[in-house]
Amino acid sequence: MSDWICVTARFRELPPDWSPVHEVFAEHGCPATVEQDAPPQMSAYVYHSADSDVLIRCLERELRAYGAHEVTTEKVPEENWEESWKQFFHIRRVGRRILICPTWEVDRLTATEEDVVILLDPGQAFGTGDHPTTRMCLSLLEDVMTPGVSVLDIGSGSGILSIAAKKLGAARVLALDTDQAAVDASVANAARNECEVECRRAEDTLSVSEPFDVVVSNIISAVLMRIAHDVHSVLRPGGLWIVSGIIRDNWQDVQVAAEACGFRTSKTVEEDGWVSCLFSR
Amino acid sequence: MAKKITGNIKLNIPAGKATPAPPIGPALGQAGINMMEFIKKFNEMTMNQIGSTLPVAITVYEDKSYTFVIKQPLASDLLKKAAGVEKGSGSPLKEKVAKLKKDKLREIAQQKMADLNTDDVNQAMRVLAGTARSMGIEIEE
Repeated sequence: MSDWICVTARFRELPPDWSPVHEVFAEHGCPATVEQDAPPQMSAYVYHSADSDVLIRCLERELRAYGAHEVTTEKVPEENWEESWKQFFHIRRVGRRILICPTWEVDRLTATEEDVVILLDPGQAFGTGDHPTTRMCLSLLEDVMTPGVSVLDIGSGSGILSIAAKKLGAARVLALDTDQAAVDASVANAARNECEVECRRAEDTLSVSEPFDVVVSNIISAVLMRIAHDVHSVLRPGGLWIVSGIIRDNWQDVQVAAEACGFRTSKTVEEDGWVSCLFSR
Repeated sequence: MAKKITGNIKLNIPAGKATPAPPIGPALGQAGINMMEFIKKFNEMTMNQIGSTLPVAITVYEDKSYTFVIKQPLASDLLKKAAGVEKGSGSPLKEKVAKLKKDKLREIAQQKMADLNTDDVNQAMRVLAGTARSMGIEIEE
């Protein structure tokens, strides 16, 4: 026995405004609807009960009166929808020692003393360690980290790179992002990992005065090119800039822009059409 | 990060009253979105609009992160409020429930224009007049 019935009204043409169709659903006890433009359709859910058949017949008649050419129903079993997104995100090993563990899989974690475990609840922000750009960035970070260095993370997202930097021995980590949701996620994840990471909301221009040994930025090519000069000036001589988030087609432009600011290309890696690079000042 | 878009979800949700029940649960769960967080955010952001139903457009990226935009209340909502009725007519052709001045319709058209994919206020007014008609709300000059 199913708990819900999904009622879908299909239209031959996209209605100029969906709200009258929504009203039909709302007046039959379905306050929320899902709409789709291609093919045009609107759906809502009726809870399965003794009255639901009558309700659905009535709903179908009215939806047809509003121009639906077809009305279909589908049974949907009740499930724990709150949790279903989590099935997409599991424990994952990155680089040699880093283990990314979603907070809800802690019980399944088996780590050795050598492993650097990062507990993560990505929320709405970018960076689950599942994406090639994040993975390559983490590997490069692991390669260059030495105890005591200072790290600046530009575009921190979930905070994954900052936390990794701290756990790999950084003395000081500053995480910047222009999106408040990302700053909040970075703060929460840093706390979860008992990592001291300073998280700040940044404007488009880099307003950081103190020098850093390592800058890491997993953003987009256009932003990397724009900030290259500023990054060069916040890096100590001999400092390193790890960049990621570059589509192969844009790599040449980023490299030219960075080298024009005085960077040397030390190492490049590529995966799935994405390029990451280690620049040195 | 240049993020690849993997899905667009369009929902109409009563302000301040999103829940994990269908349709939000299945729609967001299938897309791999952290639903409880979305619900919390949506309800927080729309608390002062309770009573309206708000269209939300969610963009989902390949790493399951997402962004969303909350639009102006549904056109039917704005029309009902402006006309001072709680619901539209069950048989709009025969039974009219209210009258609405054209000036008021123009105001709503301006408010709702961006959501109706037009920058022509007359076009927006035509769409809204159609919606009004289907609810039994007459437009008068």
